[in-house]
Amino acid sequence: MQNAQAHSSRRQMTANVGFAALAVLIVALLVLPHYLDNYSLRLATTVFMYCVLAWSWNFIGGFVGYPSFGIAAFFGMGSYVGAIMLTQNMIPFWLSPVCAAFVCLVVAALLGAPILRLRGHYFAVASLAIGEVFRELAMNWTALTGGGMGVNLPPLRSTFGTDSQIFYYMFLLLAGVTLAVTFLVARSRLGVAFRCIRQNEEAANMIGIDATRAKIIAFALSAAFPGAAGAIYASWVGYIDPSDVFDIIISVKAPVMVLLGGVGTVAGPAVGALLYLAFEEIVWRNLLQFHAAVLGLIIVLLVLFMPNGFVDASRRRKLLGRA
Amino acid sequence: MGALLELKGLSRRFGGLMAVSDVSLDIKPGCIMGLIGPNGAGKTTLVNLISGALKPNAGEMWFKGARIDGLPAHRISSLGVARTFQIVQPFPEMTALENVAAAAMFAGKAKSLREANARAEAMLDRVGLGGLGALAATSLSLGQRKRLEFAKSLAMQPALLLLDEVNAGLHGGEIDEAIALIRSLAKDGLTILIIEHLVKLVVALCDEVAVLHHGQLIARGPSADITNDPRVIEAYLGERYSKRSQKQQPVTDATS
Amino acid sequence: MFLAQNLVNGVLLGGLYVCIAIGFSLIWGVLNIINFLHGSLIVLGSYIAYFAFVYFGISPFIAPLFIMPLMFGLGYALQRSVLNVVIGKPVLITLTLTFGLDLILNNLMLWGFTANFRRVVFEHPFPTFEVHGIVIPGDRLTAMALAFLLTLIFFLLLNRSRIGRAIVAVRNDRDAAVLMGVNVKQIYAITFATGVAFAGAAGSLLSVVFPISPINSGILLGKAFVICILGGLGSIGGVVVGGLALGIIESVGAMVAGPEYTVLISFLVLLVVLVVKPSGIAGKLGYE
Repeated sequence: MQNAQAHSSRRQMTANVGFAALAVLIVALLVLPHYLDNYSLRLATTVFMYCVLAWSWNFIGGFVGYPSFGIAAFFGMGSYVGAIMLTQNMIPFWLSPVCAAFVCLVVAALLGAPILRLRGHYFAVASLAIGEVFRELAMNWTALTGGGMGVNLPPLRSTFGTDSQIFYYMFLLLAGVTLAVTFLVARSRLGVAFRCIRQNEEAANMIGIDATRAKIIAFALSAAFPGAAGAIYASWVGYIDPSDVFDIIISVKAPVMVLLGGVGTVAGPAVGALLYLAFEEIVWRNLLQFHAAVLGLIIVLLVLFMPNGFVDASRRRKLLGRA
Repeated sequence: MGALLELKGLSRRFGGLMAVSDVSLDIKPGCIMGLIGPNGAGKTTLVNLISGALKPNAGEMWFKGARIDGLPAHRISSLGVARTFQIVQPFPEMTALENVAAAAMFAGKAKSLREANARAEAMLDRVGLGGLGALAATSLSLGQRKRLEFAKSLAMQPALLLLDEVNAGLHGGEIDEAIALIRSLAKDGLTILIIEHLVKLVVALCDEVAVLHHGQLIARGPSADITNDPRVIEAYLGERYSKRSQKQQPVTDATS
Repeated sequence: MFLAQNLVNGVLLGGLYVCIAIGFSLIWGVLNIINFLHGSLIVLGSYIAYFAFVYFGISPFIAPLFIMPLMFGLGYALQRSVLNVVIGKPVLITLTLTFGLDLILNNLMLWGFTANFRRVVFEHPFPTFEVHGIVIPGDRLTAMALAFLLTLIFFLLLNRSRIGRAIVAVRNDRDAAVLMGVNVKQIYAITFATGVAFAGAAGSLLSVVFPISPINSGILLGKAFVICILGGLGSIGGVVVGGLALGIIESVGAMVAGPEYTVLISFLVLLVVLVVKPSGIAGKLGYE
């Protein structure tokens, strides 16, 4: 009895410390823009965007275990939805990520139903093919998308602060939302369903889990947030074209970041995103010509030597949030 | 009350092979029915059809008065049909308790995590795994894993329990424990369909027995009668023994 | 008439495509690895053929004779060193690994050869035949014929040689193969190396018909995907069917919708096949 009490009060203390640390972190992130130069601000903003992509992939690839290579498909789709709606003056800027997320959610739910019947390699190839089809559509449907010439977006010119600061906060907010959803899902019945499906889909069906529905939800979630990110990205960089926003490397970056940080955990993807960006920056600064090769090398080394990432298995259970 | 489960003309083929052929059967509530037949007779396929893991090519399935053929497995589970697998399949990365709680949570319709965990603890106790909940499911012995399957099925609060060769791989003592557990479950009102190779067990445990051979139901009735049935003996041992048995004492241990 | 010409074009193209996909299909079918390097390896083969042609005057039709052993060695080394580590690991790991390797190879080629398109230009261009008003370029015809020859050799190797039988055994039932004394590790290495060798050969033949640049790797890889899924994994017949089918689909598609739509059409076909019949036309379902 005494032991249990001591144990639970220790856990309470750890939880309190955790919350305090989190609060400090949030405050720090909120005031950071005032202390950073534009370049560092851009880096931080990119980290948040990468976190969104990594957490998104984590829904379908980490929790449910279906290796999706379709993140780029919806990042690109979101970029174009945002860009088109903004250049046609259909919506105010702050609404573009919301619309993009919604469109991607619906499209992913529709496409998910047929392709989630596939497993392993076939699913991976199908998810990849979706991205390629979207890219080619964007390339060829010139009337809607401007084709290979891309879309130019108007600069923000807001009264709330510099453009860089606004995008920092937008991506921070999106990252926060994605994290919150990840956390909630991990601790919910849906999260348990995801885990059961990953470990044994047949058995999951046998204990009453509607695996098809759960998978579609995971896939839709893994599309909605990249969609929003794509829309914000379009406004941020001011110009998008199909080979940029539908680039297959986006689809590979997401799982690599999650692998780096630890698959199926809540914190892992963020850790991975941070590490990945660090590597990327170092490589860009010093080895521009071999940028792709060095990234390839990092990926190879990661896969060969660290398939479980930095956040190891024993911590994994706590961070996943026991349901 | 009528039958709990009614199968009417159920058929299932794989390519050119009729694994289950025009099977009609009904199981009354509270009954323990044995399902026997030589290897390849279609017993597991029949259980797969009932649980929804496979869809029938023809025929109807009625459960608690409602039609269930064509429903997906998770729906059938939620309606009250639970099954164990011949080759046990726990969720490998979860503890025993988590495995059972998951079953309680979904098909078992537990209203909260606490309820699911509580029911899981109770079921683990029921099957004799009390106190082992925190162990990783993969660290359990085969006998324990089979009981874990029981616990998961029970956590779903089923009306009908399908047991697929629960005794495969178990030694004598474990088998006795399994029989005792099944008996006590039936006493609690559970309806059970049990696939079993050991005819001795079937006779001891089951009220009624159904015999499959080449996918067809060739005999059905009280267990004592079935072991004397010439068609059954023929199915297991061939015509020669069947004829012989009709002249002398019935063969009581017709294992294939 | 127009349709007929396009069909013929499609078949000529398709024959070549078969060669593109053979190595890819073999590696997927036996090692259960989707080889993202494949496109870049084909391009590498093209470059070797190109330089052999420019500096030594060796025809790309003959070049496979030395390109294949060279690439075989490369593939063998690569498999035994790096890929062996991930045999049997989940899809995510193997796909990401080969993707990373492809990034390296592609970048190195871009740096070494630049993205500028190279073309193999013969001094005395191949004759063009005309049959009933249908134009058949001699170079494409020769390329197709050689592609089929290579496919035939591949088929014979797989079914008549001891190594080939071992490869098939491993593909069908790995554990049984081990029990029968097959050195599976060695077979994996040889299989991968063979796949790479055929990629190189395909590259050599392609160099006659298409311009060469590392930029093309992605497109070639995409074609290999489509061919394997369309035709079905697990048999050479499947690759042949898939290759011809893709060739025809592309030609007719270009005729109907315009050449800029060929990639879109082929990936749409891929998706439809995956959803409707993943085992493809001739198919047995590959590994999952």
